[in-house]
Amino acid sequence: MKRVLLIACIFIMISTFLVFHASAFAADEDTYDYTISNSKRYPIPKAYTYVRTIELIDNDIGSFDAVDDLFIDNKGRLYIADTGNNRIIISDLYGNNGFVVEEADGIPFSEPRGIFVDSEGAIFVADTGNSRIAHLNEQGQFVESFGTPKSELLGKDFIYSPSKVAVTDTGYIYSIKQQVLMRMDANNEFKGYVGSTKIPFSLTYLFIRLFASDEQLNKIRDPDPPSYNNFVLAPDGFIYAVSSDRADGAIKKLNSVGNNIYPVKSFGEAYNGLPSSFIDLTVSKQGIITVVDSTSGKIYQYDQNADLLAVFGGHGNKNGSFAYPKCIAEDDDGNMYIYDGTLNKIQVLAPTHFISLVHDALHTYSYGNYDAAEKCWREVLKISETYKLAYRGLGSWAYKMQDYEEAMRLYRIEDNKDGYSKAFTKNLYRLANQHFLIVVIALIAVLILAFVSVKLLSRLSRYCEKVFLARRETK
Amino acid sequence: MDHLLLAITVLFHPVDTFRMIKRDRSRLTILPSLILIGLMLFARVIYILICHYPLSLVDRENMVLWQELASYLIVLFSFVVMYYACTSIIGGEVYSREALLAVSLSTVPYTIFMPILGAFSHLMGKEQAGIYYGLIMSVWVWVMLLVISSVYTMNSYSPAQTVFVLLCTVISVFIFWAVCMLIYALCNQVLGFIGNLLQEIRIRFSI
Repeated sequence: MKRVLLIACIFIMISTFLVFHASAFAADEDTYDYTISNSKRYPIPKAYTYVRTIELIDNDIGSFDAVDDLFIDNKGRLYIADTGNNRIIISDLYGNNGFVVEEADGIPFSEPRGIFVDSEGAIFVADTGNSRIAHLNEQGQFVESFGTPKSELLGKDFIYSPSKVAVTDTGYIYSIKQQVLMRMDANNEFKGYVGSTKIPFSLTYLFIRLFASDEQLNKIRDPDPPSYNNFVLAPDGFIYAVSSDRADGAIKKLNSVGNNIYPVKSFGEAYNGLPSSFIDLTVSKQGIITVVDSTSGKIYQYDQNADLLAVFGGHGNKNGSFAYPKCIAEDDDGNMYIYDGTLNKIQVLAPTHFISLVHDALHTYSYGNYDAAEKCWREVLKISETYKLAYRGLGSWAYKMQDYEEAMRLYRIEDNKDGYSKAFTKNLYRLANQHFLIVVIALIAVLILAFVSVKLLSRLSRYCEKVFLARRETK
Repeated sequence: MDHLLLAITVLFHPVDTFRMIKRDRSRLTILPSLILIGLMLFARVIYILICHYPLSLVDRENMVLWQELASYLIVLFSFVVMYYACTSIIGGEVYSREALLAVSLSTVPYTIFMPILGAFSHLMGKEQAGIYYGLIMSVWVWVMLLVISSVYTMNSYSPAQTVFVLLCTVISVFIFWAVCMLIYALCNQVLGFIGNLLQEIRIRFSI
């Protein structure tokens, strides 16, 4: 009996240890995402949590294949460019009540790779295989189509294959043409290219150009600028695009003339020695930019200043992880719809209280509601006291409130030299104004001291030389 | 120890100072040089600790102090060795101890002024970085002028020869470190190979 009890005790102890050990590890992985500040990773509480998976759209429509684009309109309908099945699927946000559009103007879709729905509910499909953009009404009925744009500038060899599409309120239709975005008007007339990417500097290529013979040079193909992978027309009216352009920023915010007004910096991280490759993005009403990195399978979220808010997702087979995240869309509640190209399903992730607070703080601050932003940031710090961006937010708030010493303290914690310096200079000017007389006297005293010190050092120098020579002679 | 007096003299009368060292070469010891180098390192530590946060180029929280100081020592000693080697070949007149004392005396402006600049930095932010780094640069220029002056005076070189020797010294410092790194890489490879070989033998014998 004793032996049985002993064995049972040992078994319970071992199993308890194993269970606790496993759950502790799982909790660790499941509880934290991270952010990056000054090239260092900082753990943060989970930014998004898994909610559900959409694999089938009703029973009669079935599953999708090689989806190339997702879109959610302002009425809460989900649009799927089901490229592999040459159709567009429209359903609610749960994948129910769906219907399919397979043709436009009697011509079946061929590789529809992009979809856009305007505020009136008009659907635009980038029907890549048919070299056209099809305009459908809310019910999916054909309205008109835009084929190869008319223009002498494009030349006879021009091949039109729109892969993504967006239509502005002013009626301009944008689509991707490799390293540029092509703009045409509602009359199907070419209106120019915007936002051209740049060829990055390559030392290897420079050396080849310098030392290769003419014959060799003729055989070498000139490098092409990096192509755009995707773009969206954001609620703020700007076009946001992702490309592999590392010279001019992988994320771009293009204004109406096609200039990038988003900060240029290095986005993402290297993964197993490979650079990040952003293939899709979504921009919320609050201006939060969420991009999909196909290399690492991670989702990066940035604000309008290109500050990284959170990194989540990544490769894995658990809910909330991906094999190959390919497309992303966001609904009005901030839920992320991420299509996995390998598993062929859409995962829905909901924002946590933590990341919602961060979004609210950024949003309220950008609208000048500094006190509300301050409250949000303080809440954020209660949840995660290592979240550096909260210190920056609070530092900016303190700066606006002219509490420069507090701003300096907060910027120092964040390790933000620019912010610290700005607050320091303001504080210095204020102190100088308050104690002007003392400052002037101190300045004069320092100048006199410097002058006297130089004189003294000069005399001391001569004296030391004499002493040294005298000692040598006596020795 | 009288040579420590020259640390003050060198600031305003460098040529006379270096002539005195040359004249007094029979009594020269290594101790004053080591003290001066120690003071320079001490000044470096003080500077790192007191420099104003936005102007500090060193990440104080993550720096490794001995590495910071070792990098200075390595540069200084390799320069002295190469300087002595070059002057020995190109008709120079200095001995190694004189070369060491001359170079360590040349660092005196750094030792005196860097802590002062560190304290002064607390009146400046990043907006005044241009002025601040300009002042630091002027201290380094002063140090370099003293080194040039020592090479010129102590070896009785012409100005052209001085420039040539200094250029040779700088290049040879680079070559010296390139060779050191090459040897390190090769040794690493060889040791790795021997390690793998031993592991292989151990596995074979254990089977």
